[in-house]
Amino acid sequence: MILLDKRPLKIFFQNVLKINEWKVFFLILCACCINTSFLFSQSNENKATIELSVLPGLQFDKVRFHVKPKQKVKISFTNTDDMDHNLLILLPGSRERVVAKANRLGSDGHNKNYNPATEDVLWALPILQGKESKILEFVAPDKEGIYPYVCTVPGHGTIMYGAMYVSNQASMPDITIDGNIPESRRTVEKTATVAHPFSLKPPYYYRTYIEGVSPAAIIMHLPHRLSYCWDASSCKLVLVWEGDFVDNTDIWKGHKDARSKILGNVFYNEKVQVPIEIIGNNVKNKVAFKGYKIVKGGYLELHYTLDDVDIYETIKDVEHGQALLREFRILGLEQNVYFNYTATPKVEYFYKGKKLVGNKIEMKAEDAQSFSVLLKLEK
Amino acid sequence: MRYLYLIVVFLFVSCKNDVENLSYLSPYTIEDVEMPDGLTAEVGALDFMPDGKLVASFMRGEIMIYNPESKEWKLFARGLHEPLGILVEDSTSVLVMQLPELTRVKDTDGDGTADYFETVYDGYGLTGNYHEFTYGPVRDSKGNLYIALNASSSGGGISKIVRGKLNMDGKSKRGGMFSVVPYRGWVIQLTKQGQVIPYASGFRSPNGLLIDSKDRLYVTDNQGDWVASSPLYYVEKGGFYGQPASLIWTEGWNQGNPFELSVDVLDSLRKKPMIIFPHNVIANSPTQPVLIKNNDYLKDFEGQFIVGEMNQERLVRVIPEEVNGIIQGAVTPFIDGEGLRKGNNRLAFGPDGSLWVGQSDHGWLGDRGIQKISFSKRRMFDVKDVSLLSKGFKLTFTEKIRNVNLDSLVQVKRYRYHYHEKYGSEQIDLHKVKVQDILIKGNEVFLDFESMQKGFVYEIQLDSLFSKNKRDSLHNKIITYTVNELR
Repeated sequence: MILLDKRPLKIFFQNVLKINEWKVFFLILCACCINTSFLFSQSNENKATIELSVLPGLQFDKVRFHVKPKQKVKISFTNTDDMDHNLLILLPGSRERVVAKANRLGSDGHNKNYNPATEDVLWALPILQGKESKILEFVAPDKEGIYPYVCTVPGHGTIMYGAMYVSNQASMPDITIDGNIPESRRTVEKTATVAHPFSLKPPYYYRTYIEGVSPAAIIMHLPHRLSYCWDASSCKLVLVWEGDFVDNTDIWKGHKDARSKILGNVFYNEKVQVPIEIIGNNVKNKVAFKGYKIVKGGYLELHYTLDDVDIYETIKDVEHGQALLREFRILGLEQNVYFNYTATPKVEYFYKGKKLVGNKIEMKAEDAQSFSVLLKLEK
Repeated sequence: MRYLYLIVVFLFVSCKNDVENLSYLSPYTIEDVEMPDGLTAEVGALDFMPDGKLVASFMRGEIMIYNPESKEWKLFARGLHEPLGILVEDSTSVLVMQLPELTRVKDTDGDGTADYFETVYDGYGLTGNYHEFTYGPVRDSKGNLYIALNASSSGGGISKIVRGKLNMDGKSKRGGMFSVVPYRGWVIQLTKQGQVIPYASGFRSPNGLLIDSKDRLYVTDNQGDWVASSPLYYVEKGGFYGQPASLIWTEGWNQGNPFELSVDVLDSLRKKPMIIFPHNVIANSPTQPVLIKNNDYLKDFEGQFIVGEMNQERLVRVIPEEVNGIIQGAVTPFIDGEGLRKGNNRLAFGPDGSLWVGQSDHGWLGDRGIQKISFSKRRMFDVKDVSLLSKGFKLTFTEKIRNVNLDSLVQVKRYRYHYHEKYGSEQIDLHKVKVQDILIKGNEVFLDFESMQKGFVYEIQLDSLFSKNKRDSLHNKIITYTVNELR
């Protein structure tokens, strides 16, 4: 009898060996035995088949379902999102605990499929990338209860969850008052299944409100899971993050204050006033945003003026998402400039192949007319 | 046998009804435009390209182009921040009013999608408040553009980082809409020569601008604090239109927090609505006005405006009139129900004279999608014109009137509204107006009152009015006229 599909089974046994989860193993063995006898006695008992997918804004398409104790369950999970998601089924009341433990896995989390070593986790599917599908089969616990299921990819677990109702009676509480599902889903309304009338293939961008940046923010998701925010008020790159892009669920609702929520890990936060600073007397270094062009590859060439000098900046991700390339063009530049940046732990700046030290570098006017710097995330 | 008799009577009655109904054919049809899969069709703006294609923007930042012949949608641009205004420049370029700026969105390489986004104007403040919507642009014959900036809502706050100079005097201690960064609650003129002129202040939520054929600017606003019932303003340079917050950005303003001024002072500063849309009578949230101009199907209403309404399945028609140099006038429903949805946020006339209506809700009452209203040559029996008389009104209808006596069929009342900080106002000083005499002359009806008073809305209710030829009843039965000036 197959309890789990191959990968979780493998992970499961690895876990058992590594972390001594004999209790869970025993529990499942018991469930297996009980179920076997159960099958012999009531072979006409139906298998519960659950089709599960993902809606935009970090939500499962189904936020609750009902099965009977000891019923065979087959969950067919398809990641219909552009972000990674896993699926963990937990002991009643343990969701917040497990989510916190998954978060604490830190940089090791991805390797461990954000599945923390705890007996609270009953069954799990590993991380599924966009468009991937996997099947999870198990026998429902014999003990009645409300068993949470959740995606524990960091940032997801507080809103991306649902409830498996295990009970002999097929009734669930009124959905509008069901405290076991996310608040946004305590409604009978249908939720849109896609964000836009086109697929979101990076690079793509939004102008939006985002925390910590002026309200004139431009955010872009790059092909290798890096994203940046460029502020059209102060005319500079302000944030860089790795991982997923943003959650726009709240801001798209309208009629209340909301921000696009960053889903990844912000590793660069610009503190300098002006990244490019003209050196000289009577220089104001006053910026004005002029717009942008969509250039080859779908990247943005951002345009602003610094006093009366036209500056263009294009930002790409390179080295498989390990670095951000900032390309500058400055027209009609006559004076020397500083390139200013914020010294940040684990982040290195490179210019002409050389690692920069400090927080600025002076460039001659002729060099600065066209140059690029590399912002690298130290691994 | 008795039953057979009853059936015959019943059939006779139903046939008679059918005849009446047949003669009451609607002069227009409303059809739903099929929207692309995956689109959240909260319509922010509509306009037409020179080739007759429709350009539409949506609240999640898409701009899409619809070919009415092939009924196909194509993506033109994406990623914009709540684009609530579109003005087509030519076949490759549109001006888009999005939340942070006015942007020229252009296809420079001819592949049908935009690749160049040029900032035209972003010199106003932003606080991150959810209600900082931006409206327009509209263009006058000289090439000047006008945009309007929503005040910020006390239903939300402000971010730590704002754009523009912060001045907390633009906020009342008692709540209400505020203006703590430049020009929130203003209409801005951008001249063809590139000058930025803060043009008029006192707006709350001015979700609709219009330039008429004489280059006059009109702006709708929404009921709320200081706005008793939603108005249409005739906007003149330097005017203040009632919501105090924006006053602090008046050049040379030295009176501190404008909310600390007395209501009487504020009342003396303000310009009153050209037309009030009485709440729960005409419209609760008026949106974009469009001008009826050279439309073969709507010749009776030339020079009048059609205005959208968010909260009801309704469009209304504004009938402006100049009295002693003052622009005021009447408003009456134009389309009520009959398949029209709610949320009528944006309107645009197609090249064939059809009227396209874009709907939105965005957290408020409304609907989503686009509907096309096609008119026929069949005339609607409706009020064509309303003129103020020294003591009464002259109503002109699109057809001759069959009725010989209207005495019991016309009801008139008058009322006005408070000007105060409180959200909205009830009708006050409400009185029934005694109609002394009603004279019918062809397609004209003269209503004669004992007296006429300034500063009141006159509400005229008509019932069972029939046209001479087609025997059909009047299409819309309520007319309100805002009397600012007496004849």
